[in-house]
Amino acid sequence: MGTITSLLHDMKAGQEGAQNQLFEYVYKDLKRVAKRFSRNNPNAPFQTTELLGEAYQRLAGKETLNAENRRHFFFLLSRAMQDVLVDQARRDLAEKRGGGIANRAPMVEVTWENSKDPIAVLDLQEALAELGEKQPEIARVVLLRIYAGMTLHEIAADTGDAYSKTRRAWDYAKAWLRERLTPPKPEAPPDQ
Amino acid sequence: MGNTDETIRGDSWDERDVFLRALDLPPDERDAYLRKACPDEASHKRIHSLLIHHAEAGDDLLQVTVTTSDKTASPAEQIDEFTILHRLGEGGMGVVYLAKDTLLDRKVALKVVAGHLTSSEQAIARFRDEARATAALRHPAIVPVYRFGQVGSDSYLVTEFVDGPTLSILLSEQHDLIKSKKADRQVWYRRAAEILAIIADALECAHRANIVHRDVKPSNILIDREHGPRLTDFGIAKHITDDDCTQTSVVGTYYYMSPEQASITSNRVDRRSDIFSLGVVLYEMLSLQRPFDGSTPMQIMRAIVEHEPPRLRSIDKAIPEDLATICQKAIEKRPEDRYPTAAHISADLRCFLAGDPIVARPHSVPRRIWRRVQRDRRISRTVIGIIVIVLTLSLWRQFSLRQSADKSIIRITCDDQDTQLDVRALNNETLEFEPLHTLATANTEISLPVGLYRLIAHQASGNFIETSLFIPRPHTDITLSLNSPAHPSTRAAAVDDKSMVRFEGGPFLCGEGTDRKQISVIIDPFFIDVCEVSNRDYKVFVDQTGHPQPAFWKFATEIPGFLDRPVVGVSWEDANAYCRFVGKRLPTAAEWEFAMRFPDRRLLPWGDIMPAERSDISSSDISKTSLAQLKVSLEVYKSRSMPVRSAPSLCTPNGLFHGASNVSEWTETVDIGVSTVVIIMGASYVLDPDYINCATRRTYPYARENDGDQLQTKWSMQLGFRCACSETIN
Repeated sequence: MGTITSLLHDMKAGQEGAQNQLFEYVYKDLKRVAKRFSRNNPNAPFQTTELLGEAYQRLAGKETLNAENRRHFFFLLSRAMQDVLVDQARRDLAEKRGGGIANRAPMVEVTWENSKDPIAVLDLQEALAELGEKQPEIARVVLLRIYAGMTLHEIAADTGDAYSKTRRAWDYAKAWLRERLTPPKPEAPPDQ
Repeated sequence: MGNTDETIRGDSWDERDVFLRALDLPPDERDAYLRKACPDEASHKRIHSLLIHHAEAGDDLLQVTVTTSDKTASPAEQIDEFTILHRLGEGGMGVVYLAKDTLLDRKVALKVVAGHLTSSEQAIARFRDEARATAALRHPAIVPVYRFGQVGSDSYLVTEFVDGPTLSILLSEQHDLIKSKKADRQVWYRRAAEILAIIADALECAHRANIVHRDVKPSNILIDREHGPRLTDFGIAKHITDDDCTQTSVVGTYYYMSPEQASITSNRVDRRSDIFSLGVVLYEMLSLQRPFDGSTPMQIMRAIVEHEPPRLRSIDKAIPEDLATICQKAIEKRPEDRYPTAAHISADLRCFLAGDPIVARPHSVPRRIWRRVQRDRRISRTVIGIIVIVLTLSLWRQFSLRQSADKSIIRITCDDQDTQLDVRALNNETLEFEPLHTLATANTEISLPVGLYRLIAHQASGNFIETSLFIPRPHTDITLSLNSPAHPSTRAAAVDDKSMVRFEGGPFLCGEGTDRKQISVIIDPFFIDVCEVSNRDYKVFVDQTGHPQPAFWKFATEIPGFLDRPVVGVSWEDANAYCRFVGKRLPTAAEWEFAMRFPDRRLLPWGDIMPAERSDISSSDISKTSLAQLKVSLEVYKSRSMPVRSAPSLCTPNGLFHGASNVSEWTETVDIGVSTVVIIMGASYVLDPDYINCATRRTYPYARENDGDQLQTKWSMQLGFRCACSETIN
């Protein structure tokens, strides 16, 4: 726990090698996240590393240097992952319009666990932005959960909240997002 | 109830709170609760809907997956005149397809580089330039580029279709074989040397055209079923690394990066970077593990820049020492410490295959320790402490033992009682022999420490006999006879009958170029044989003294013109024994070089212009002969060696034969460093004189094979000698 924070301090104090150490430390996390994204995918290794590479580069940017502590750092990390996926989704879209012969750029898809219909990453992005405006602390949990691949326990420990509180935030976020992202269908009356 | 009222009251209706409370209730009680808690029908509906979605969402909300777009080219798709047949594989850059060229009706490999990897106009332009340059390369071990084109935002490259696995596949097969203990390691090591010698040739060809590959790795080496190993994917990596946003996309390449590629501070990447990568591949082939490893690119790159990989021979003792040395020289951190060109590493690999000495020299132990210390400051204090203690101890020991121990007893017999004996020891700094003892009689016993000596017997007549004496280790008792030679060749007579040439000597700078440290010496006047000792000459010696004959003489009858060919397959000791027999000695490395490069420091006996005859013995011809053939050294000797006095157009201006064309030669010079080595000079018939020239000092491990107490250098079928002698003794 203390490692990341102290590395961040070292880094800010200009200590040589601290940044490298920090990224090495965090890389494992990034890898885990990327792996999650490419599961059930025969081409996973390549795409995982490619995604990872991009997130990694973004993290290596200036913004990281301003991270206050571990918590902030992970938030930035999840944002980086999100950015990568969103950018990728934009590229996918552009490709669809431009039409190359053999575009093998990774396609990013988000699906409900028990559904096969993909959700557009850009829609998810929009929904998350909306949630973030209304209930920032809920959106934060979602971000850490989806894009930093953290478990609820980790998120709870990280934010200093009780696990039950995080759990409930997640329950709500889940329902809210799903409700928001599911195309409206003819509704059954509530009392049926 | 009160709580719920509070929630309902006010303008901020807390949807989340109501939802969570409802969620806590058993499903059948929820509706009743919601009716009370919700301010209106809309919010009631909304919470209800959230609850349903929550139930449907399962444990994990969203699964983010990354998939490959379905838009990859499919069979039968046409790209310009190429019909896609099927997918061959993919790498960091894109997908490779087997395609059919419908115009020329042949199979080709078509590689599509996805648009997002070469996003900018500049990147595409560079990719195209490189394709153009590569297309100009003509080498049997370079997969030729046929075409470069563009469709939409993607670029594609068409190359010859190579039917065979990549080296990385071969490597993993070898892994499995080793595991199941089915592999013959020595066969595999030779195979590694063969493959990489050829790939080094391909790199040399590219480097001469100013193309740096930058991505030498097992997956870019294809093992063509018909044509052997071939290099592909030229220069593509260059564009990847220039394109900063995709730099991290090809993780596989990290392992084979050179320090100058991996470090952020320097970006001077030249041909020696490819040599490093080639060395990494060699390392992996020999040890079946990567020299620089890590779980993150950062770790790998740091290892490349900072760490010394484990020594190959400490991983597996069976790895041939020469190959380990070659590999070590290729993966030196500093480019200037590596082989200067790919041709040099190719030459050394071929030397290894031919059983000939290599040019690279192993690291000395102190150097290894020093490098360790430099890289790891933590241990430096300890190490320096240990060094101080060891030095103190060894000095004290040397001092206390100086009187008598560690010396060898040399018994000298001489048929002439009036002969005076002059003992001179080699000064390793100046490389000159300095007087040590003068004894009234040569019929005596002396004790000498390890080192190289020259013994000079001054006869009453004024003549002198000189011979070299090497004491390889303490307590090696040697008996030596300094009788007048049975076949004395007086120096003047030798010059008259043109069997020797006299050189005046003088100050001389040994060596050339950046290859090795140049040494400045002063050479006394000397004579050197115009040609190598032939089998005919050596046979006289064997017949008269009963000295063992070279092993290959068993096949003498199979070798046409056997007697006129140079004697080979003799150890350094054999050569010295022969010299004593004829009253001469071996030339020093400096003398040999001086003579061959006379008068204008030429690198080759014939100067710069290759004589016409050279073409039929040229090494380009050698590289065409299959490597399998090189292994059969007797066969090669038979087909490649020449009579000792042949090819006058290849002589030096002073008429010395075969300084770079027949066999390599022993010299008298022994370097007693950490490991004792004998210097050998000259290119042999299996080596390219462009790289092993008359200034090249190669080293041959002394007593490579240590058979019990018998210390003897190993012989080679490409290694002969010629004799020399001093004019006067000062």
